[in-house]
Amino acid sequence: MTWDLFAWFAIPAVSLWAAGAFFAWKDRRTLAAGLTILGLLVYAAFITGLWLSLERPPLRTQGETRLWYSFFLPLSGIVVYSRWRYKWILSFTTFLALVFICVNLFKPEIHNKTLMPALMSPWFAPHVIVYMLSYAILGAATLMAIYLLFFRREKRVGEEMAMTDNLVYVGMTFLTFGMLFGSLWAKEVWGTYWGWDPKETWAAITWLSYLLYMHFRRVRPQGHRTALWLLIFAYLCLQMCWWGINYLQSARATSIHVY
Amino acid sequence: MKEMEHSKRNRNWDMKEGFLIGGGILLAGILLQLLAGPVRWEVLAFPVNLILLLVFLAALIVMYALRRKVRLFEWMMHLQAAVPALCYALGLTIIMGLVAQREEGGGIPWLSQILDFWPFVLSYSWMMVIVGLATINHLLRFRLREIPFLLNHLGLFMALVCGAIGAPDTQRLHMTTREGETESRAEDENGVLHDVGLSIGLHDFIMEEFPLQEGQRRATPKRFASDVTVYTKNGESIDAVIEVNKPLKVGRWKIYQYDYDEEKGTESRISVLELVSDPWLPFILTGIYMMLAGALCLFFFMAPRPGKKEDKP
Repeated sequence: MTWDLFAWFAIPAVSLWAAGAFFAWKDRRTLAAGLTILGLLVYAAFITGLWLSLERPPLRTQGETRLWYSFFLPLSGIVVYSRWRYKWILSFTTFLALVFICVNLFKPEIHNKTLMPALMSPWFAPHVIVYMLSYAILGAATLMAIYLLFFRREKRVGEEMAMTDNLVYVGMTFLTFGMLFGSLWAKEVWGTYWGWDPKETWAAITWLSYLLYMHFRRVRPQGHRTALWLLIFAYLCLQMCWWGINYLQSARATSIHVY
Repeated sequence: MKEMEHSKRNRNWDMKEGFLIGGGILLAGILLQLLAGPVRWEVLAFPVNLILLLVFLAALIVMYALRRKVRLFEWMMHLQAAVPALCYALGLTIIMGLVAQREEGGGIPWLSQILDFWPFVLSYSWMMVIVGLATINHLLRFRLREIPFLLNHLGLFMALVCGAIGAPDTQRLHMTTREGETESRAEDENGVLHDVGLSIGLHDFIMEEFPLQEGQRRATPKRFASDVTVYTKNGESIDAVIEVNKPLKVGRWKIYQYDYDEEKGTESRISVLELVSDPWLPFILTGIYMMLAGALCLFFFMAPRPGKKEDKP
């Protein structure tokens, strides 16, 4: 299995997710869930095959992290859908997954097949996978924030805010795991937990931003709009941490995380 | 219920006060920076850091004890104080993320060495005061449902405080070993040689490479490893292969594969090992594991339901 075959798996998967999203609008829940899960299985088959043929986890390049991200997006979409029955969530996650798949199809950045010694560690896979999972869940929380801030007509948002909080809490679980796994790994490979490398600094910024949201929600439970703006801000920091720093002059020169 | 009483009593002490205090801390930090120069972390080397930690903890306990008399202390252990403190720490960390950090000096004054910048250090310290007080508060009202809170807050407190004040006690030495020879001294960052209390004999430096790709001048390294025997003072001898991601723990030292003769590449006859001793390690690790457990609690218990008592303003 190689990247040449990616389109053969990606197109059927996206079609299945789109069909699932369509049936979610039509309130055909079983069909919506079934098709989305089928799409996930097709996509997972490609990831597994790629993993086997590379003889290392496909987590190294930006293209490979996008691969996981576009897998986790519909996955968190289907979890949110089966829990809260939002008709629109599957359409959004499908659309976002499609964007990331298109980037991988047209601008792959997937050439490097080798894995440097520093990355050969049992921490590598969990570190990146929990990060991508948390990015996907926090992405869903951001979609929720955008929906509530700009598209929602009704004033009462209590139930939706509770759902957004839950997404953030679950996302924070994985974000914290990703960060601390990284720190334990860094101790094993360089003898330091935390080196304030630009990627680490932005990971701390992202983590603190979501902490701020969680604390603010408790001190001002009625201050919905500020809280939702905080969520959008936090997600921008997350993007900066994920790929933004690759374009940041201050980071390019020094970061060990530029890939 | 209790939270409600607190917030009533603190009606005129809200987040605004927190932002003012945070601003004051920034100003104080700038003054300190001008008068005393950058933070000199090396001053904190043992036993100063231990004494400082004990004084800090004692101060937190005194503040907690005086909470009914001093409105400031009461307010400090609540969210109204936590949110502004988080904002300041976040703001300064964003500056750190945008300004290239230069350990060797130069760059933008103050901001390019932000870890030694008093406002940065004081803002984080202020946040730790608040985390510490909130921890004591929840610890003394202990119930099972406080466990997630305690894991998250005490874990962060331990990891961050011990990590910061323990940094000057961390020793990081480099030992250059040659194939067939035994070495017992290692160099610090200033080039001073130290006797590390153990000696290491290098049998073989191993370097493997990936096959040369098209257009590549040099192959990508696949593995660095040193086949060694470590002799301790007690007469023990340990045979081991030290490689990247697989350090060896001997006594207080952890030994890492660090460098080799890059010109000779796979033919290198020397291997540079890094010896790291970190006496605060157990506390930092405990903090990290507590935070991991705390994060797991977030997953299982999720956000507080709306309408719950503690959620009310």
